[in-house]
Amino acid sequence: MTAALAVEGLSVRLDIDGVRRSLVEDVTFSVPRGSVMGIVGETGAGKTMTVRSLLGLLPPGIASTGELQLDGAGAISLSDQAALRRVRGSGIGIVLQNPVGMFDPLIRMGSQLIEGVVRRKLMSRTDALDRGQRLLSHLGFPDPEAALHLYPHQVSGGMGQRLAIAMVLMPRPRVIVADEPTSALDANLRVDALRLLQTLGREEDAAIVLVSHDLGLVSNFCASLAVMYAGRIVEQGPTGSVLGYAEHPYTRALAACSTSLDVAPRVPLAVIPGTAPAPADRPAGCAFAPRCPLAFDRCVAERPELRAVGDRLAACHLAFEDRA
Amino acid sequence: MTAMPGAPLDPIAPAEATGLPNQRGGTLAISPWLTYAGSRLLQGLFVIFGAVTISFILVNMIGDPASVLAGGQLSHEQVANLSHQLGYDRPVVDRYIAYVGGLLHGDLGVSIRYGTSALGLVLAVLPATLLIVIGAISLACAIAIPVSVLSVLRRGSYMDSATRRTLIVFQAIPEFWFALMLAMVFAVALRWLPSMGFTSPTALILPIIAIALPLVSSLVRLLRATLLDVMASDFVLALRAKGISDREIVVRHGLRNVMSPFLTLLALHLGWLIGGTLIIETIFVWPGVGTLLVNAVKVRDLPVIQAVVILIAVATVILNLVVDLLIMAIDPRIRQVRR
Amino acid sequence: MSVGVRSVRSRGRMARLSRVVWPRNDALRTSIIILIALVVFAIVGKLLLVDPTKQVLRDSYLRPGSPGHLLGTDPLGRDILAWCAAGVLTSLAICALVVALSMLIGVSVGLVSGYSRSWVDHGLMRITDLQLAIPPLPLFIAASAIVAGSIYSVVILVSFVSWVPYARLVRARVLVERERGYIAAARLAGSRTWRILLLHLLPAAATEILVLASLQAGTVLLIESGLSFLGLGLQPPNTSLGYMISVGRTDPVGSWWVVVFPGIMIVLLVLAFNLMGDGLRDLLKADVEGYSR
Repeated sequence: MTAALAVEGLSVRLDIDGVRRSLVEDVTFSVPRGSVMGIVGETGAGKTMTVRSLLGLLPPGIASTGELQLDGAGAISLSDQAALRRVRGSGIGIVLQNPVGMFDPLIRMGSQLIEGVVRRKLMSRTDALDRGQRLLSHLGFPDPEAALHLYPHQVSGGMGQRLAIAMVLMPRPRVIVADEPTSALDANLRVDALRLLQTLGREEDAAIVLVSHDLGLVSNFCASLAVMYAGRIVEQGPTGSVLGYAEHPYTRALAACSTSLDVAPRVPLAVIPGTAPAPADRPAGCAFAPRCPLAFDRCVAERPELRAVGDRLAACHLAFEDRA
Repeated sequence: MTAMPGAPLDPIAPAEATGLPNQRGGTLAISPWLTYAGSRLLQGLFVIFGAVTISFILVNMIGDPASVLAGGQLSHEQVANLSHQLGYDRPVVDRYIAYVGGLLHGDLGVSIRYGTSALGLVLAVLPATLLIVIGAISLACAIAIPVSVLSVLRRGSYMDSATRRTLIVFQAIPEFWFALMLAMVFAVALRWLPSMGFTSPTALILPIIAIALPLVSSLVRLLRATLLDVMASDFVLALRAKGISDREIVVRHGLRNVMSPFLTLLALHLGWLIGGTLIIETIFVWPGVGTLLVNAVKVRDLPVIQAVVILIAVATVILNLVVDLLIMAIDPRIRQVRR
Repeated sequence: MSVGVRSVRSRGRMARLSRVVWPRNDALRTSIIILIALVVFAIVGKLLLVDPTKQVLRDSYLRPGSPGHLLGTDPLGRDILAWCAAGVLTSLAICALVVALSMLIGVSVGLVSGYSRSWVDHGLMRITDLQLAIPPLPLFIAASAIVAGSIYSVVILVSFVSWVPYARLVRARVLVERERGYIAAARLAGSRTWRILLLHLLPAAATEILVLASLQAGTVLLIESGLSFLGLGLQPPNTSLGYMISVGRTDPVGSWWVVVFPGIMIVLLVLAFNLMGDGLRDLLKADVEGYSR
């Protein structure tokens, strides 16, 4: 079965005024239809750059290389702005971190919901309104027509997110990317929001890519995970394996950080000492080595490649060395 | 499809109107438009009143019109008689009260020079000034908006930097010099257009261009900066993510979002223009408000001077009110009044 | 031209200010070159050329290129080149005085207004609103009838309409800064208000004031030349560029040089000030958009 989304060798580079930095290097993954994949990592790991480059929406001075494929159709180069633009919205949709911020504050929600599909001539206006109302109803709005008449400043965070999701679903995209979908929500709404995304993915037969720094929360809803650190994937594979049998020390540490919130009081929270290196300071060897409790000589000298171990991939020398 | 079970919906905060408590303990709904317009009108009246008072004080410092009219040809006694005739030897406070009283009846006094109603004189020359002012603003907007949009869409291109450099130079050109040069080249040297007076519709062209072009650079600077700000916002990213072209984004969303600062700046310029067409009118010998004012000052025609000042104040107030209401119409967030 | 993000962050304000001396910034460099050229021209002119106010009637209406009069003469025989040189000096002097005075008034009002935040603030803001609402020209006309056209009256008049942007800028800055910890600490330590205002709050707004001053200098020059053109500003023996343009108005094409050359001088000066303001703003990263006219 062809994957809804297949990404190959995605790299993102900063190129401004003679300064060149690699922000993301060699990211490869695929997501089947109806499935959810999580990309997790600290702030600055390159998660947002990765997903933005899928849409060709990188800031000026930043470019990407690599390829993506939707439903096995022809490969699209990530530096081909025109081709990427054709795929935006109808092929890949994105829900931003601040969902209410996705709307023009001066225009009613209804108009904005249908704008994408109507302006690009994907649907007639009446069809679009119809679909919009049905989507809203499905998303839990008791009075979709009233909701469509609202202005962005009149909705709360949770409602805004549902409206944003509805807007993204309008053109029936093959892939939906959600960039930190829970950060703007109150804690009690987060699980619901993720469950909603998961269900929608199944119903619409779309692939969902969840970007988050909260491993613990997100892993409950993802079939597969990719853990990123300092611009590279350090471990990826089915969620159960990645979390249960984590090869990379970073993955283990992240998992420990998230679950440590459930422990008894007075037990110190797990932390990972130090901070991730900025793009300018990435070392020659493994980027995590300075913070890794298990690092040895080879880690500092040589950067580990992503290699298969079991049903997943890991970039760690430990996975392939004899452990003494 | 059924509604999602167990999906909590957060309460919506609806747009509420301001209310006055009514007798049953509820509130009367008053449209936010009315309350806003009402309070601005009140403020406006205050400003007009302030302008009337200040101008009265200033103008009376200029001196007694009688002596100027006399021109040194009358004796002291005759000047004093003239002064008494015109009513300028009464105490200032008396004159002030009489003036304000007349004001409320629409009487702004009688021109010392012409003997006719000051208000009438001002209203007679107003259309000529309005024509060039409105014409200039329209021309300036018609140039500034497309130039800004193109500049933003083609940011960093040759056209963009060339435009910006031209505008920087334009901003350094004095208005009066520009008007003079226009007159020199097109009217006197080339004789394509008339240079003096409101002789024909074509006479409107040069004054309008003289006022409009210096305005353009100020407008473009603001528009370009605010448009660039808006284009960097999240909702524009979302629009791009939907596959909508930048051109459509700027025109359908960008312009609307910058209307607020733009209209405010426009109103500011318009306000200055109402009094500021003086120089242009002098150069083109245009029979407008500015010329009237200059002539009135020369002969110390106090009622006319004051009438002009009041006109400017009233026009400014109306202008600001209109702009504020327009901004309210465009931005729904302002309409939302908290209880 | 630019530097990587990290190195800009690690430079202090003093280091940035020292770049003003030989800037890498295009606009700034151009403006300084223009200004230096004009100043040199003005000084050399003052020393070497004839007295610009001297009227030599038999030499009136000479065209540019006539012997001894590179830019021609005006209807009264005054040498245009000398007038331009002297005019540049006059303009620079006026600019300096007006900027200084309006800065003094505006910054003081802004500091007091922003810091007090009470009815004092309200009252001062109403005054600035009122002042902004008055179109400058009619005000000048009316005022000119009262006051003569000396340098001091012109300076005072122009400063009167130019102080508001400084006040609003400084007030906005003060409103932000006064909430900061170091101000509270100073207050707790018993510092007198004027010390807090002058030693802490004022330096915080210094770069923005500087940028605004540069931008305002151009506006001041335009206002002054406009006034002199109308006959309300400087008159001979003061050598205002605006005045000479009004002289050439009587026969604009026949003696075009009387209008054109002084105008070009004004354009160069204002352009230099504007470029300097833009350059300073980019260099010092002080945004004063919305405060300058």
